[in-house]
Amino acid sequence: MEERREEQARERARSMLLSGEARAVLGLRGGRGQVLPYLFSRPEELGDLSLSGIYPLAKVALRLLEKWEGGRLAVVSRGCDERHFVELEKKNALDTRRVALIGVACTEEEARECGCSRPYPNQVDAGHPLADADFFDRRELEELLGMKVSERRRYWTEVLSRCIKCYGCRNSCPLCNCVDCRLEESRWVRVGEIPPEYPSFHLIRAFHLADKCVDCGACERACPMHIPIRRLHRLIGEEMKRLFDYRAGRDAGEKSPLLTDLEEGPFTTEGEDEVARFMEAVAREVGWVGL
Amino acid sequence: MDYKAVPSVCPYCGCGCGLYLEVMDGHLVGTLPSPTHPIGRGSLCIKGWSAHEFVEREARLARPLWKRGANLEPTDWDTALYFVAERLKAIRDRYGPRSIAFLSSAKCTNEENYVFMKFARSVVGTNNIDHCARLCHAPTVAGLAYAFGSGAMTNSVPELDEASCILVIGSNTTENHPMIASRIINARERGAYIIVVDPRRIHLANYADLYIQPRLGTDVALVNGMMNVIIQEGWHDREFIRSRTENFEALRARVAEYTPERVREITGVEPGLLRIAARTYALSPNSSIVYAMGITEHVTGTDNVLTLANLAMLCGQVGKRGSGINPLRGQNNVQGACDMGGLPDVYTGYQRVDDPAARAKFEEAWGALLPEEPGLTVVEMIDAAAEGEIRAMYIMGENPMLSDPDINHVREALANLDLLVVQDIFLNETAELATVVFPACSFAEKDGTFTATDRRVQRVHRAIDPVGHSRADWEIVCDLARIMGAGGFAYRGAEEIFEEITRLTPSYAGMSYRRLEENGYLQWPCPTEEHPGTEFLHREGFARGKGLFTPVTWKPPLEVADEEYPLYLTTGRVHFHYHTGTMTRRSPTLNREMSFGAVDLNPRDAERLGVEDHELVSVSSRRGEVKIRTRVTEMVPPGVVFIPFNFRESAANALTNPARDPVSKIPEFKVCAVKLEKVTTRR
Repeated sequence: MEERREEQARERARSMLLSGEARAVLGLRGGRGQVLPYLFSRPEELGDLSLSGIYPLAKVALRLLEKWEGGRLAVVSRGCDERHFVELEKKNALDTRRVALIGVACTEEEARECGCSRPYPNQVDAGHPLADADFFDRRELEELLGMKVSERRRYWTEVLSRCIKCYGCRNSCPLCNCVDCRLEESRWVRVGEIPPEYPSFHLIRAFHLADKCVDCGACERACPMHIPIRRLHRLIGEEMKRLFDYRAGRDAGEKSPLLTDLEEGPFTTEGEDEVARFMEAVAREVGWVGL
Repeated sequence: MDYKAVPSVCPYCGCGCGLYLEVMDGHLVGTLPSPTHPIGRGSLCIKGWSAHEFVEREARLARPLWKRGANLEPTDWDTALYFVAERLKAIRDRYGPRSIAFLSSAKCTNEENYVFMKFARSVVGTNNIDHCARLCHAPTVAGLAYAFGSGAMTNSVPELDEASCILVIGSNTTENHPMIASRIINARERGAYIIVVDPRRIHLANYADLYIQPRLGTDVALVNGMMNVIIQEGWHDREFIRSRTENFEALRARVAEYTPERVREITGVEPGLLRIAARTYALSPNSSIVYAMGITEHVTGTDNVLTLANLAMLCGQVGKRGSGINPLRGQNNVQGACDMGGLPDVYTGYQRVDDPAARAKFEEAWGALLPEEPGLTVVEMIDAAAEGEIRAMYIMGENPMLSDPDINHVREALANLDLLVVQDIFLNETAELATVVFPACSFAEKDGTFTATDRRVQRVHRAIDPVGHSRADWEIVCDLARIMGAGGFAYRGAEEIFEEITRLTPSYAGMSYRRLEENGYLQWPCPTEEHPGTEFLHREGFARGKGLFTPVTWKPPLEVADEEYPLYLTTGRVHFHYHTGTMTRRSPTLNREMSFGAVDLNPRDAERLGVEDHELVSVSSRRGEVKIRTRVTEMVPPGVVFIPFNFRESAANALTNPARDPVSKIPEFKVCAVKLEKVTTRR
């Protein structure tokens, strides 16, 4: 099964390279007990293309595209990877004409481990999409929301204060790509201190990703201190759904409800309240207001 | 465009995290964590994420330099190498081989340390070789070797997950070994009981079930007190003591003197807390001790290590999975630099130079007569240089001008040399004083192996070409050896050196590059090609046979606070920088996070002295003075100040006491007496 899926991905990659549809394929290369990002530019290398391991390849793709010339870059993409590209396109961070995706559906085991609610991309080239499967366990969020605000604050203070400011959450996130990162500005977060101030470091990042986060889990996997960062983003994601019926990564044509042209939407008299309500709801959920 | 991710190992601390160097068109553009690596598990700390940043900085040494008049000027390799070869020969012929001393490097690969050690011993003919392990874990090597027969971390980092009680003593783990702190947090989530003992209220103290804050330099009394309670209550492991140890009665008699009340007088720790720590450690199914410089950097460093060994043996908490004594080694390859014999008394694998059989073996292998008497240690070399007994020093990848105690004395000593050769990647504070500077390659430009803190040997791979005209350390040393007429230095590559190491080193004998690539790593001892490597030590018996109890008496620090110098200074590192900052201060990410050092001061002392947060003050000791900004924080108790040794502008080691532990010769970095004064600014 796995072999077949891998073979399908290799086949698609091979035909893209041979037809000139792509100039190179970014994927994972396996062997010797490790997988690492690799740029396949020759069809005969594709035997090493591996689908074991989940890695935020869009981050690497962005780096490659900075210097990329001629032809398209194909990227082996799971559902979450594809959603990264959707969001990047939405934010004009990427010229989609330069990218082609090789869609991979996750296995049930992978989807379960990730707690994924949509473990396949729109376009599937390898594997079978587990349609209607939703492994996102909302109970942990409900449990959290069932706590008193003071308990919630205690919980988040405890887990967020473990932070050693490695910036791994930001570094691993393909959507955390501001040119000037607010987390590095001493006006927002004091420099040179661990743990960074609670809750500014984590809430700034969470709000920045409010309309972008596609719940891939890369941040949490990169966290050395086992902070449940994803839980924070999921809380916000649920709020985005509830208040705005918005879900990041769904469709590049969709507009973020947090965007404004200053004539309608947020930051106008009418819309401001909505955003304020949203931010307050989130702040309450992490126990920062409402005591 | 060309892109590749090259597997490597972090060049900073001893955790040994696997990472990928991202290379685009021949240049480093980023670092990624390795998701499958057993230590990092897809994570890195901020230093790891920034590991590529210093490598191609403009300030990298690109050509050899030599002193012309008062200045260091560029020259070519042949000129520099022939000059050094001639000078070394001349000094050796005139003053004898013992007038030359070598500092090897815990930042360099095993292969390079081996070649350097071989050069010092077989070409120059001296055992005067040492390195910064002297300044961090010399007491561990001495103490644990004495008690158990092997001076290394007994367990593996991943095993900490399985510990049911972890006693962290003298280790600011989250700041200095972040990925090991990650394991401790893991263990806690799984229900392990965490005890943190530290004079400073470190980050990990917030995640401890029990935090104990003893006075500086009172560890022996504290641990003796725990053992006093344990024996009194019968919580010790009688069967383990009977079957696996010796000299228990002497220990029992000594610790009987350390009643909880007396321990309180010495340490300031309440008997109730001492009792909880003693009971939990003794009775948990799998207790592990984690320690670092807070234990070793004292004139009683070896005593401190021996008491911890006593405690572990007393409770049978060693030689099991997830249970043992775990010194966290500081540098990426300090374990390897020790294993490779970068020490004055041993060849590779701790084979003693004064053991005729070992010496004969190396003489045969190297085809040279080797000196018999152990050489000088780091601080002894500096003293000997000051006295004119050492005439030349060859320093590879070390920076004693910031890392050694009492650096004013170090400067005078180095200035007194006829020849100072420094081999480094940047013109650091020591290189500025050199006669000749050889530009070396960083970890990203060469092949080789590093040995992480848990005896884990791992490969680093050449990711980019050498910067400028720099060369790998082993190539430079081999060239010099050949110019001096020595055979046995014509290696085709790092792998060939590694093969020679495995032939001469029983604990590495079963390793090869092929096996390391296939397996990802191998932990010593790994005596044969079929051997899988060793996760934890002393399973069946101790390396020396029976574990040896050594009764230890508490002694106060050598320098105590008095009227003139009323505060205690303790030193260490900060999370965002590494050691003397040669690499981290040239990394934009790390420098942005922290661009200067500060003296940590308790709010009560700040108020008493009338100084504010972030105020420039003067801190002085009997040896020197630094100007430094304050950081007012509850992290240090009243009466104690802390200065990181990472910063040249406010060098903590201008103040520290070079007094040494009599056994291991480690200086007392962790305690000296200072005064702190306001700096009056002229208007």
